[in-house]
Amino acid sequence: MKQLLKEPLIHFFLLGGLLFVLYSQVNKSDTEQDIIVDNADVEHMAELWRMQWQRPPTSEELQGLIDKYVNQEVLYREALRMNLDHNDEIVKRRLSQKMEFLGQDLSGLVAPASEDNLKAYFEDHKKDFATPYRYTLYQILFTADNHVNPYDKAKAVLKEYGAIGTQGMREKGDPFLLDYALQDTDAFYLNREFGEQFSQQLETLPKGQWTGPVVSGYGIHLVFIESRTPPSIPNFADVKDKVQRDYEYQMEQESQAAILKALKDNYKVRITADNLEKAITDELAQNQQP
Amino acid sequence: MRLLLLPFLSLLLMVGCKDTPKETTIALNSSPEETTMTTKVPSNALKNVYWGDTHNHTGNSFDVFLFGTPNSTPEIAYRFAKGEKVTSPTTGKPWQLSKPLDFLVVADHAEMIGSIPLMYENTPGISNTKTGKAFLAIAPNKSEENMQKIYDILNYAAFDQPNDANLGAKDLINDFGGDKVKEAWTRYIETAEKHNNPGKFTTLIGWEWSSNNSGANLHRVVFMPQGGNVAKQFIPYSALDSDNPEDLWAWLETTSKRTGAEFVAIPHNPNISLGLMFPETRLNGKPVDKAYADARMKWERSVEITQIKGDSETHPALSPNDEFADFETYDFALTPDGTRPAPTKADYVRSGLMTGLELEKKIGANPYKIGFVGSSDSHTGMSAIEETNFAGKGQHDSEPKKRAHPTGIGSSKGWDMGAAGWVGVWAESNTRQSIVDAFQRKEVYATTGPRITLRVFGGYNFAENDLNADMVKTGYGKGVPMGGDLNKTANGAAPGFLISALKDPDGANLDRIQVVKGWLKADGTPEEKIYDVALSDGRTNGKQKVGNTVDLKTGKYTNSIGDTELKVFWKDPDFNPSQSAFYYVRVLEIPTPRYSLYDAIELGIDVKETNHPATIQERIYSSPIWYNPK
Repeated sequence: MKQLLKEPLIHFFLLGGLLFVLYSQVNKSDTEQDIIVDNADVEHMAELWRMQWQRPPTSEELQGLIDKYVNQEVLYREALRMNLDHNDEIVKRRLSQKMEFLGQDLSGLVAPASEDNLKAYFEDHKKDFATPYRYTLYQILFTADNHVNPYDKAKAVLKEYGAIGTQGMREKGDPFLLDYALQDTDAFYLNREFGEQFSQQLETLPKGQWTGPVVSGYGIHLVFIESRTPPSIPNFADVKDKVQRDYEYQMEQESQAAILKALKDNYKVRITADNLEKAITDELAQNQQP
Repeated sequence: MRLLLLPFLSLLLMVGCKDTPKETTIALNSSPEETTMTTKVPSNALKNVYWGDTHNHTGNSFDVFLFGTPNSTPEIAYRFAKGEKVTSPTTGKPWQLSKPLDFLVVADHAEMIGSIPLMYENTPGISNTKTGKAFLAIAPNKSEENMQKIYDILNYAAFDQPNDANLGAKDLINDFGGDKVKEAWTRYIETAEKHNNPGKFTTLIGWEWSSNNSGANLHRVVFMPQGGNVAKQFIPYSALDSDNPEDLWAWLETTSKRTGAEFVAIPHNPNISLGLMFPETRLNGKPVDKAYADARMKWERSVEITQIKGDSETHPALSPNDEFADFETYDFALTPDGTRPAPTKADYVRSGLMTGLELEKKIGANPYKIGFVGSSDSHTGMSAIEETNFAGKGQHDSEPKKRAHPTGIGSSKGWDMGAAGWVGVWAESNTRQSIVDAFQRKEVYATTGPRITLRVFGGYNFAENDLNADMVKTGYGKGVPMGGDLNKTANGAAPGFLISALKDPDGANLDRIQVVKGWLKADGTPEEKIYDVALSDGRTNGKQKVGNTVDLKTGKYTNSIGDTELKVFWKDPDFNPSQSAFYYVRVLEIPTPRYSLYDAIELGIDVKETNHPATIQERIYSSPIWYNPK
């Protein structure tokens, strides 16, 4: 029995049953041919009005709202009776869109952004919040504009002047509008400035000496890494806003996908059209796999 | 509705039970104390270039929704700009920038922000209005055809032109405008606030004022450095309030006084303004005067010179001696009848600048003394304008296979769209205020895509040997940066310019630096001239082409031609101290594939079928520096 109670499927039936009972209680007065406008309905209409117009409706307006509600309800029920909702493109789109919205809203119920959930999410995704490598470094550059073989040139300069430290080295490289000294910068900035491939090469180079060659989007560099701070995981409290942003987004995406999948599992989809290209048919078949 | 909820809730609880067995309560207020971290944002007095897009649309824009992209949200727009992989709202496929942007303005059309989605949600006060009923009668469902019908009607109705629904601007504003956009506006502000991260990524709150009188595009993007507290004090001014830019400026004036907002307004697509973007006559029929010039220059100090709907620098018919003028020329007016009007000098930026000089002589103020901005005007919710990664203008050209067909925007087809642009901003730090200040100084420049680093300084005390590693310090110390002014000196000396361009570190090499000069001759008529001031690969004559390495079968190119860096000290050889003039810099990349070539390769068709060149020379435009003979 204990085992049974832990089964999600059991929860589904229990909760579903409970909700069904609740639902039939709440709605017992609204039978097929009765249209009842109670206090709750009127309040709801008035509230919608207030949201729209920033003021409560006058009693005349309220009467109009109720009239309209009743008329709409009559036509709506007759339409349902005549199956006019079936195969109506706008009804289909609207209802499927509603399901998607529900998925979004209910993800907040099922997986609220509580302190515990956020902390758990943070623990599982620590890597996403890690600070980038930080550096203080010096660099000089040799470009193909100025050298037939900038790579060999860099190696030659390293061999000849590699020991002179950071004073007097700047002039050995090409004059170029990049900073020679980069104080307390990070991999994010370096990639912006030097191109996508640059900073990764710095992670393993020796510190406190001229080293290289290192390739950037501009040419060939020699670098002097004065300090290097590897990535670290920040305190939860410092990145909580970002954690919450990512958590909520992730949960919405996941619950929507999970709902669609769970619902889709109840259907057997067969694409019988035979006038499609083979590649498309195969891809469609792939998408319908549970 | 309630019936629907029943099985749904159960299902959701079941799904949820798997991963999160414990939490069942809803945390209404999960952050008891304010967690405002005061991290120090690094600042650089010599400025860094920050890349951004000031013009990105999401599903809150009526046309994005009508063209079938209702799932495009500001949340996705910000995440995409930050470099995250998102699910494309147009195609459902994963999409990602090659590298992150530094800032973004989600600028949805202020007209009826969010109202069309609400109309289809049967919202009282919207769906049951005259406009709502008319639209729902004409377009009971959201088929592509019906969405286009509504879009076309809106383009007429907003400006009181005859239309199938018999609607006018008053109807739209009463039924879909005013306070009814408040909810969408407030939700947008909250998302913008959430994603603003000083020092890393900046979100600027803004919108688009979409005046389209008789199909003439007079649109302006408006944004500000202030946050949500200020933005919540107003409803964005829309073209339904007025389609006259002078009324927009008046509103900016009063709203700025009331709320403290420092607005920046940027007109876009002069190329389809039907002769109205840089006019000599105002919309009321009176001549442009000093008051007009002063108001315009207070709010509109730059123009969007390049974007997806074409390049507005100049037109081959206006600049017959400019061999690079025919670049991403786009002339499909925003009229449902598909007009392709002939270009006038009021439709392009270069001629607009020259009109500005003429007007200054006549009325004592220059209304068109403007800096240059590039932005996307993307209607996909993604600022995806890289040739290798272009997501299209909107739903109708979101995929290569759709691009041979009409887009519904004027009479254009998919491949008529260009994959452009972004703006480079020289600012001390990546913060709202610092970035907006750069726009106010016009220290900004436009790119059609590549992130080329461009420094331009003008002054009278520069020399050849200032082109050293300290050039930037010298430039600021002894001259003015792009966007600045130079006044006549006692001895009437010619101004000199220090110009340096570094290639996009992840892109193609550079072909050349050009200076474009415009001036007023002695008889008061304007003239333009283009100087090749720096050429790659040791060339000395600009007539000699850089070459082309693109393989049309694979779409690959190499950086075996062109230079990594071009720099020059240049002095105007034709300078006349009594003539007012402007100088701006254009830098061209070596030829690289246009996105339509990648499409042709993917689709297995001849690139000629795209009706566009296989390769293009991407470019950047600096804001001008003006010489004033007084």
